Amino acid sequence: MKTILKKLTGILLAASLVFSVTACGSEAPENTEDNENANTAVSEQDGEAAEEAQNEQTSQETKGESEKIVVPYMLTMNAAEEREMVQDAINELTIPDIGVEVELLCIDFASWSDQLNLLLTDGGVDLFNCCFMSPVSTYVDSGAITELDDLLEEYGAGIRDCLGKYIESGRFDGSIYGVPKVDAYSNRPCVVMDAEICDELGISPDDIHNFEDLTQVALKVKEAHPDLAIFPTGTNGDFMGPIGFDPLGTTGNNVFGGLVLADNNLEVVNIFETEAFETMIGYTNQWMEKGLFVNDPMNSQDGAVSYLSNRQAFCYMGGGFDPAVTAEVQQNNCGMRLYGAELADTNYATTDSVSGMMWCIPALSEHKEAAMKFLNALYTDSELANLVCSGIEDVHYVKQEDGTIDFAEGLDAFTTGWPSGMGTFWPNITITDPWKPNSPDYYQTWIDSNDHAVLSPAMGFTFNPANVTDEIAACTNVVSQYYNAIVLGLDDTESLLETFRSELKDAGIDRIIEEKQAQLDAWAAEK
Amino acid sequence: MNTRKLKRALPLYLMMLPGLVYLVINNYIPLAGLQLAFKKFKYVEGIWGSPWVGLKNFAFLFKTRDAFNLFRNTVGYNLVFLIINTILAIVVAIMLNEVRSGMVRKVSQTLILIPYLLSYVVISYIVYALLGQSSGMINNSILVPLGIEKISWYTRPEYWPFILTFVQAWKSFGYHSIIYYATIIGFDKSLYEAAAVDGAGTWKCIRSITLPLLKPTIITLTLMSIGRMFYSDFGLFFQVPMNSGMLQKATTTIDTYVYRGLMESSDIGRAAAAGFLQSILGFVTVLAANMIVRRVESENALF
Repeated sequence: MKTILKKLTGILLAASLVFSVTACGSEAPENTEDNENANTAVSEQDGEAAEEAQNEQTSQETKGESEKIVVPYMLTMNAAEEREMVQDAINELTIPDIGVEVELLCIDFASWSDQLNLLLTDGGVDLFNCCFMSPVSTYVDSGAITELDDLLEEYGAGIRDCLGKYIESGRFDGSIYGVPKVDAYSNRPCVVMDAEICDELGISPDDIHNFEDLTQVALKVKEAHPDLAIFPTGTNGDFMGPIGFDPLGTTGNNVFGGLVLADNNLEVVNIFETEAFETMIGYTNQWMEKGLFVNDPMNSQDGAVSYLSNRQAFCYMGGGFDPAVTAEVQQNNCGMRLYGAELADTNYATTDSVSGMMWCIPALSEHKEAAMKFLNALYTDSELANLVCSGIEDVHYVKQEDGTIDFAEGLDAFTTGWPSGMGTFWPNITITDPWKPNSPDYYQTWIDSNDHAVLSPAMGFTFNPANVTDEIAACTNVVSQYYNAIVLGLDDTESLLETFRSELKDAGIDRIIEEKQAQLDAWAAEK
Repeated sequence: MNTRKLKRALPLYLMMLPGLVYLVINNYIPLAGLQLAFKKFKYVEGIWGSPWVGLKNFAFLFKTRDAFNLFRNTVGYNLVFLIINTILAIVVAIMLNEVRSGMVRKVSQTLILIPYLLSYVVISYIVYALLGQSSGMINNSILVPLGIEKISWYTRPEYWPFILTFVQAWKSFGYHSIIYYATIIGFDKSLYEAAAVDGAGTWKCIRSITLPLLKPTIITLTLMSIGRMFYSDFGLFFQVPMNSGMLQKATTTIDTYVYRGLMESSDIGRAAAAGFLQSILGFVTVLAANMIVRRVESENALF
């Protein structure tokens, strides 16, 4: 008996030795460093939050009956040191108006997704912007976020008015799960260039309309500045823009079936097998051959914009409703003059272009009504919107005579206690006062662009990937293996492309496309 | 057990208590979470309430043409690492032990530990500084002056089994050898003195005293590594090749595949399934290895 017991303990011990690692680390084997960062950040924040909760509790008793909600806020460049000041100002508005007390939870951009995913499991937040996270559909599928239909009905009339038909982009399986922020929803691919070099060589952004024009310009710049790289990196999906397709819910480089927008029909095709994709590869391969990329583009991990601001590259590719505006917005981040030029002539709006930043309410939140009340106020109350987007008047910004705003004296983008660059994070920046040097009706142009946009025939359709997640996981791996090598022409492109396509088939891309087509047809029939 | 005996042993049991509590909380209670591998996780229902889905979560690991590749890479690399690490560590440990100058020993002990303390992100850039195409040292300072054409390291998978093995060994040999060294200095010095009196040289001492005495340690450490046979160091296989797609044939392991496949979907059930499979396979191999050890030399078996 004793020996059996001893053996059993031995086996158990060995088992625990092996298993414990899984049990703890089952969340997904992420970059360990990031995880560590996230963890310390969480615990720090938790401590802070707990401390605050205590302080708040005493003060709350005097404030009367208001429901407290926690709303995470993303930090990018500099810390929001004056968070508490802004938070108090918000509460001065919201407690009397809607009976909601708001606690802003600052989360660093780098750990945003990790930390929010963690907070979602225990109801630690009540309202959040689902950006830079997994697609909203995955949170719907795992029941992490709640349906908003009834809440919108009761407390969200302002949101409905603001969004109009675009509210449909948050509908999954019949219910609305997220509301997009008010924005210029349509997109056209564009290139953002160093304005000084353009002026020097007499290049006008108005002369560029496609990859062919861009190639001519790139060669011209290369000739004049042989040491300067033209294109920073090949590792994100920006080159796909000019193909003009609706990715139907699988984004980035992972385009597993989509609609060719120029065809204006509901036929889901394999974008990687289209002629347009081959044309694009033709150009990027040519650029690589002529040495227009930065050195070792496969290994460049920095964001495209940083190459520009370090004067290591001439341009990068992006998208926006108006190339000039995209360049303008980026100017502040780069600290240099930029020109924007279009690479296609139509502004398309797709469900994905609308739903990039969705506001959602976690299913485990205990204050769903209060969260919706606050969200509604963010869409409609311009005083509140100004507060969250730009900070406090006369502290962080001052009003100009023409109605635009500028930094308060002595402050700039790096020294302000309430970061100004994140206005577009919040639900409705269009009801705030625009920053200098924009025109006072700057945001009206955003709204107007929505009226001129060409809607994808699948606008409002959201894909539910639940039935094909295995195929998506397999295909994602194939893309990460071949995509960059093909686009950058690192090997024999033709044979690589062939292998790429056949491996995608083996990984089940056709199953994904079929599933998309079936769901799309069902959606169209219902409509 | 009578009361007197219990009374005498009580302090010992009390001393054991914190360790036991830690083991139970950290290693046994989380075992309940393993059920997630067989469930479709729903946030609202929680771990216990989520619906069962059978083996569905495991399917994605086998959906790809690379499924064989994944397991071959993971196990293959681990086997090679295990053999190389053990040999290297023992050789270095014995060499350390033979160094007579205390100063030299201390300095080298510290120096060999430095790579172990670097993070793989840092190491990936050291490797890049060596292998990079345009500014890498090997290409520009060695191959080109010798008149050999540059090698595009980050697009040629055939070199990477060697690169990864080298990097791994370089990073970890110091740590492993310290463990063996700590064992060696614990050996009874009188054995060596007796051997020296009988005319045994250094080499003879190593072969007839050090190595046989090290055997239990070697077996224990090996058995423990075998339990991790189906895991891979994410930093080594993801960061060091700089996530280069062209290298995936040689660098994909179970962990990097799971990361790439699930990063978009943050699917807790599938991630748990992958981890569960790794640990089950590791557990089975540990049991099997231990059984073999027990057959051959029962006193050295773990259990």
